[in-house]
Amino acid sequence: MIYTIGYCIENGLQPTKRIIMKKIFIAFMLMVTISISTYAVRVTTSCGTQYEVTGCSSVGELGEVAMWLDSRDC
Amino acid sequence: MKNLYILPIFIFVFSLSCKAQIIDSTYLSCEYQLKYSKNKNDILDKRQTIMTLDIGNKSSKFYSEDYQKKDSMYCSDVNYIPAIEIFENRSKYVSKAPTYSIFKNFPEPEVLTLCSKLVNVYYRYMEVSKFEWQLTQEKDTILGYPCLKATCEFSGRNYIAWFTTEIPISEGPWKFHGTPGLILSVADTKNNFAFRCITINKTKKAIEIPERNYVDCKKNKFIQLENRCYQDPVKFINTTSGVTVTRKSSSVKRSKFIYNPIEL
Repeated sequence: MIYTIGYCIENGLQPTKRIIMKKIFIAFMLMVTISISTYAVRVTTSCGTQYEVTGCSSVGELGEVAMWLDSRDC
Repeated sequence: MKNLYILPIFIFVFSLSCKAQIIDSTYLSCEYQLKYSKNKNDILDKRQTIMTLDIGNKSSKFYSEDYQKKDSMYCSDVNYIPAIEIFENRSKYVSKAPTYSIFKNFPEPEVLTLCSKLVNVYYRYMEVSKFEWQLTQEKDTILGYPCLKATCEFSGRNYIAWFTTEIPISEGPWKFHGTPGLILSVADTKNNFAFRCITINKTKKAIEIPERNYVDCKKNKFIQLENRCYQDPVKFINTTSGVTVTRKSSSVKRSKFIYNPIEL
């Protein structure tokens, strides 16, 4: 996003609002994905066992893994 | 304005994966109480659940209604509801019942299809299973129906079944079939797995096979995966996906767990 804005300013172009919004969205999605895959998420099952889950590619995958652990834990 | 068109298309495409294919319609639906030992090291620790056998003209389906309802709800909600919210309300989606559905005489006569979910992957295999029942003259009464005893060996276990010729349908719970009448009770001789019919209803409803992205595999391969998955879910997730799970603490103290599969 910074690169795009920088490129537009250097070349005397006015970055359109749409491009900026698009880049912000992509950057946000990347941040979410990276956060999920990098940081450990602590899951506590209904039986009280705690698990640390890392490396999920999406929030959906994290949810499925967490729910499987919950269903098989007790 | 463009987004207004894209959103319904997006929702429609995702909802396709939660649909079900109708393969037959039932004329009889039976509920079985399944009592089973999950841990080979603690056979006395029995779990129990209710399973349903829907019998149609051409095929039948044996499954957990609780699991199927919750899995379908999860499958549709996951596209609209944030995962965090789903996890917070997980009792709505998590079922401790068996995840398998068994379709007999589907996709063709004599063929059995088993669909099951392990963590986040749906598996499917087909097999031709034959039960060589030894019929005896021993009698009993279950749910008011006179029953006869039959015995057989299947997948490493010896079973005793009670069937009634008053319902002359060659059907039964789980993979069992092939007796001259409906099997109302069946258990292995070590009593690790026992199915007992608790209700019989004449109902007309669709027999559906949920449309999922199934991974087709051989029976042996699935049994290996299932054993690994139930024996040590954490190790299974760590070795089969890119996800790493670490058990941090456990408030439950239990005896050493050795998974007790129905098929040995």
